[in-house]
Amino acid sequence: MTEPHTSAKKDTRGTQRGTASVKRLNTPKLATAYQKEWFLSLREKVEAGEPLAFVNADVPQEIFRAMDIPYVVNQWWSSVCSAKQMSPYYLDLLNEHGYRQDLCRYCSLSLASAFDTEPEKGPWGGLPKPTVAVTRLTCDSQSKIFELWSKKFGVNFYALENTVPREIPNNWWELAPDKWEQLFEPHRLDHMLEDFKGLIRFLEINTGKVFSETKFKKVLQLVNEQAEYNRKTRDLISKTKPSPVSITDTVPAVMVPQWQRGTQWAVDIAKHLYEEVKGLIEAGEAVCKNERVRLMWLGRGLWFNLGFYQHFEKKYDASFMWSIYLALASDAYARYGEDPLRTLASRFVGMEDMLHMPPWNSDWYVKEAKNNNIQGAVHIISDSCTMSAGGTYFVKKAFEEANIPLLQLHADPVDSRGWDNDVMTAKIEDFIENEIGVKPC
Amino acid sequence: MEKESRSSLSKLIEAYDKRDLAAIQWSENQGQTVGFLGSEVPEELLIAAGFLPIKVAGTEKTDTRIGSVYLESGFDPMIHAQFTRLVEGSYSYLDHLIVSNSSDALIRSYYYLRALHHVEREVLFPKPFFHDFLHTKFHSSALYNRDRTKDLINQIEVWTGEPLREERIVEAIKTCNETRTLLKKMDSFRRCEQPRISGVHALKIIGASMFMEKVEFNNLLKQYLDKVSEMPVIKGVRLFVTGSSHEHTQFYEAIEREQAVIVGEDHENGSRYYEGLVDQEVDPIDGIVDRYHYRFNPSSQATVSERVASLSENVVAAKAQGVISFIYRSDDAPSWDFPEQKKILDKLGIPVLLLDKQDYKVADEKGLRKKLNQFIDEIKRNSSKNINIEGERND
Ligand code: SF4
Repeated sequence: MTEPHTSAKKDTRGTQRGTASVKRLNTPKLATAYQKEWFLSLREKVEAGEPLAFVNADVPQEIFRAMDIPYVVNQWWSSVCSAKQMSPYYLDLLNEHGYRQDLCRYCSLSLASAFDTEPEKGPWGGLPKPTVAVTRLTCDSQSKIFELWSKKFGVNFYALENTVPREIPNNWWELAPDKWEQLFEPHRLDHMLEDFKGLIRFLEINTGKVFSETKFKKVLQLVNEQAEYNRKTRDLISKTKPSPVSITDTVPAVMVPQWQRGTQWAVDIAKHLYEEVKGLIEAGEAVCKNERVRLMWLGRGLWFNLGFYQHFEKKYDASFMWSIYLALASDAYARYGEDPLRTLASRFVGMEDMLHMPPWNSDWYVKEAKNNNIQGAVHIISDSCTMSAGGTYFVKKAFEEANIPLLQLHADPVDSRGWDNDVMTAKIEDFIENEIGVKPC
Repeated sequence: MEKESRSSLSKLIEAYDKRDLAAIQWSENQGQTVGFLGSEVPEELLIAAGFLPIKVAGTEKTDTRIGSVYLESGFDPMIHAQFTRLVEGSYSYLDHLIVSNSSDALIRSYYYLRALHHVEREVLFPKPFFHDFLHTKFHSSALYNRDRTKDLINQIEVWTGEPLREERIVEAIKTCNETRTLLKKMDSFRRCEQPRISGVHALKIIGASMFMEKVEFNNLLKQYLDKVSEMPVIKGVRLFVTGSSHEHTQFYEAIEREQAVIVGEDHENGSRYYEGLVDQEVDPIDGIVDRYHYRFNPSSQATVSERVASLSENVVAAKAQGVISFIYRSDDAPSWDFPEQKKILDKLGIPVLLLDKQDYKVADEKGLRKKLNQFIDEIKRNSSKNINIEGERND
């Protein structure tokens, strides 16, 4: 097993490199192998004249799927660049073009890679030239990044609006799948529906592709099936002690298919994950057989250093067994309804609230912590992103009230340039030993 | 004569410096006060309802650490200051509070303010009402904004307990348009060849209109403007300020101490506040919505190219010899604009100074003075060469 303490190495450019994680499951391997294949075939298609959309994570990708428009997700590409240890190189490029060092690193890697004079040297041959760019105005910088990016390639971009709720719901996760008309204020859904119609027309005109209602319904059904498997997996993990898997297993196994959602492959891989986890449990396998601590990782994944978490497994029998990725895939995606486009709107309209806005997010974190028998939570806060912190004070308060220790750490999840592995490790060790009260094995 | 003009000015300055005074007096004597955060809250409707609208703002004395307990370090310090003043109880006299979506940090602050009402036992500010106002210029946004404005009217009617009458709205539109027209006239005394109003005074006058009753403000400003041509011409290098917004004058003062005069700015506590009139010939709600919707957007709500276009237009109109981009730490939006803005300014031959990652209060006055001095000296040295602005010399 890799020991992050000793193996967080410096590369030739003096940047601290992260470590890859040890794979416990086969599903992430299948998923990562697939994503590379998929990306290479996407390149081929685009080179042969197919359109390509570049979209932000919170854009309704189901629409592109129904229109057969290949797309690349901004944050997915960031995670790939980051996992390939290329973020320092790209972010330096951005800085050379006058953008300050700590500016929106999570979302600007793709823009940064567009400044590369040798783009083909990027991961898997680099991003091919897009046809359109689509984002959603969930923070002030999105329209900037996407406009700069689209100008760079001379393509059109569409910005979806983001609306704000006035009501605070109780237990949104119970209402989301079927009672979303009750959960979200109607005017927000109405507006998003209009916005989606505008997006479809924009895509029809700019790509020459057709929106198939029949295919769209099928896509929605597949997304629900995928979400149902994710939910089963999450529920299985949450009630199993010791935990069969850690987030290093589940994050790639969930996120790669998340960007492929609406395909049969994504459903199959979600099913595969479920069955594999079930198999591990039946075989009595666990991250730490003598599990002493169950930990939660709140916030974005440490893409450049997924191996980081394994140190704590060894030293404390502590498993980081919960991340937002599987949990959100379980609670926030499934939607059932009569009108397909409005049903899709209900998936996206409150995504920002659920993830980043108190008390929507803090209530949900605590509910998940309790369901998973969590003994401590590590909350990663990126100061270079207005969006990600998501009510630090309220999250802390909610955990205090629930009597669950919480450690809040400031770090950037994609920029390895500022990551001090020793300091971060020491902070978490101190937290485990002194707040949770567990000494090294 | 000059004395009369000075006394109206000193009253305006007093309203700015003692920014809660008018509102406290109002709530003691006349009626309800409404605090607003964000630049999309239509003051016309509040005035029509008989309220005194007052902008929620920090001051150079605000200890932003209080707000920082609740807010993220990734939010800009101006929000921290505003939030501080709300949570510390400086606005406990308010009857109502409205927040609009001028920036991402502000939207998030609204959630936090609301969450405080949800989770804390004692809070010292009214429960916030959100005025959701979209900024893309799409038709769907225009319709959404109309509906939200109607929601706001409904809320106001709940607060007053009576219907908001159209003639009152029309009257309030007239008053606010007059304020804007007068401020625009004031602006002409900054932009002209021989400026007679300093940036510091301009910022205070604009700000005063957000802290006091508008009719009274209009009268004072009229008196001041009647005499302003008799005021001495202000000498100095003509500078334009862009980037983050300013709700106190520390930075403006620092610039104008260095033989420079600020002839314009494009932030929401400056010229954006009075940009564009409400059309008085159309349905009043249409007129109000369009005015707030179609103005040029602040950095937080605009694309880079929109900001580049508005900056170059404004800088040329103000005949500025230099531009200072002052950006608070964590205020990401203007940082995204800057590299492209610099390119266009370079083309126009207008030098620009970037002051990045600034605190809410001027932290290192000596260091700042040094940078400003160098920049201004350089402009002076090059001023004979600097003939790119409509072919005129600027000195
Ligand atoms: S603020 Fe955060 S979400 Fe927005 S562009 Fe920057 S890094 Fe991305």
